[in-house]
Order: sequence, then structure tokens, then C-alpha cells
Amino acid sequence: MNDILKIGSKEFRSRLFLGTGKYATMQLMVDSLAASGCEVVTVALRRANIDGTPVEDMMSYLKGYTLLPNTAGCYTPEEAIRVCRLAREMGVGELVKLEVIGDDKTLLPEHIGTLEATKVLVKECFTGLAYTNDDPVMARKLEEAGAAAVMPAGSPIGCGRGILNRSNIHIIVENAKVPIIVDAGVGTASDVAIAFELGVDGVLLNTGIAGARDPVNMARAMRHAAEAGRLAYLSGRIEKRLYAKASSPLKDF
Amino acid sequence: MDTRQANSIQVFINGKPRQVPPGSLLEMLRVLGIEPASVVMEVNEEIAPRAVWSERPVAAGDRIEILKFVGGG
Repeated sequence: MNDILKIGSKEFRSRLFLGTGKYATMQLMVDSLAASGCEVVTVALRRANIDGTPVEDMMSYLKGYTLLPNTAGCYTPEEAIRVCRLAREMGVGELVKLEVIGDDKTLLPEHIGTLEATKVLVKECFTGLAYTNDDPVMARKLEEAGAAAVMPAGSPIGCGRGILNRSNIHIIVENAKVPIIVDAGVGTASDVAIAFELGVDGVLLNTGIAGARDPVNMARAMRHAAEAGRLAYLSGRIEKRLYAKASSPLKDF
Repeated sequence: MDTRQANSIQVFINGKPRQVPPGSLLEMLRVLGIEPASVVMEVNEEIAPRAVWSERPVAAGDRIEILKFVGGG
């Protein structure tokens, strides 16, 4: 099936985006990424260790993947913009996952700051994927501000509670002209399938795989769920009915 | 002349005071044992483009941030 996801000028065949945090070992991460079939992986930017102890270089494990630097941990638009500029200086391209966090307990987004940062990043020619919550109005505003994709949370980051408001995600998808990528809250494969059945263009997840007892097999499950959900969406599901509708002929016994 | 001054200058790296030998940003990274390709740098809150690292000298009092990619979601 020729089902390409286009974000800005980039094209992807896989609609799963994976985070690279919280894996017990680098090998588990590498194997899980491979099992998921993903092409895009998120990374965070942090202070390097300067005390001379050798640290594994994340980049060396991610060759062949498109890197999507995030602005995790930024609470103001200024911080987020700074991180995006620094990430671009790393030479990995223009893609950035913009998140401006409004609250450290829920990690829910700070909308005003996210919108401000989006406008600045667009002017600086970034391809910004903006993390938001499942609010259709905010999704529209981010699109209007120039976000290359809008990434509503299914539920709070890392909570594993799946898509809490399917109606809102459905409304966001119906009204969007840019790709919609569910960005947080995925706990298991059915959450991924549900997101795709609602018509989202992609799903980004990290904890759901990295935190699973068997991350590699969970990554495989997520891949199948993404393919199943996407195919189901493209195939056009039946209407939901209150009463039965026989599948076998009712006459000529 | 105070030889200690001549042989090292104090800068602030990732928020901590640190003595480094006089030299370029690139030489400083080598002294710190950091692979240049794996990091980006800010000096006094401005990005120092990779292209200038070999020429730009570290100055006393510089506030230098050295950042790298780590795992994240």
C-alpha cells in the first residue's frame, strides 16, 4: 500500500514515531526501534557530562533514523526556542517537537507559550510539530500559526491511559489540514489502533514501549496496531447501530 | 608573572567554575575529553557555530554551555 505521511517536506512510510527515553539498555532501545518499524525518533538536548567519564553517544545508536529533537522540560517559549536553535546547530535538520510545559505534575502544555514559540520557529524556517492537548480550538490555532503538524496528547505524558477523549481527537482530525499525531498517553497496542481508527496521521510513543516488561515485543505489537488501525480507517468502518442487522439471508430457508 | 594565570583561565562550563588552558573552543573540548561532533555549544548565552570553534579563543569568565542529545520522548 502506498500510504505516505508527509510532514513539511519530509515523507515517511511508517506512521509510528518513537521516543528514545527510559530504556533499560541501549541494546533494548535499538531492538525496540527496529521492531516498531519507525523512521522518526525523538531525542532531548541536555548538558554534556564534563567530568571526563565516558558516556555513550546517543547519536551513534540512531544512525539511519530521522531525529526529532524535543523541547521537553521547557516551561517558557524562550527556553523552547533556544533548545530548537541549539538542536538545529547539531546538524540534524529542521524538524523539532515543540513542547512548552505548563505544569510539572500533569506535564500538560502551556498553550499561550506554545503558540508564541510556534510563530517564532516558523519565521526561522523550522518544521515544528507542536505538542498540545486534545483541544480542537488550540489545534486549529497552532495550525494557523504555521505548525507543520499538531500533536494532541491522548492523555498525559507517560500515564498510559490511552485516548481519553476520542470525540475531541476525531474533531481535531476532521478539521485539520496538517498531519495530526497523537503524542502522549499510549499504554498499549489498542490505544494505537484506536488513534489510527479515529483518523490520526501518526502516533508518537515512548513509555508504552520502553516501560513494558518486554519492550521489543511491545514495539512489534505497536507496529501491528498502527497498521491495523490505519487500514481500518482507510477501509471505512460500518455505522454503529443500536439493533442487530442479520448477516445471513432471512428468507428461503 | 603568575604562571597559573598564564597556563589556565577560569570559565564557567555548564554552570560550574572550571580552569582550562588558553586556547580555542575546539581545544577546550579536547581537554574535556568531549567528541566535538556529539555536542553543540553556547558561549555567554549565544550559540557558537561549529565553524568558529577552531578559531574562537576561550576568554576568562566565559559562560559556556555544552549540550548533547540524550534519550527523550
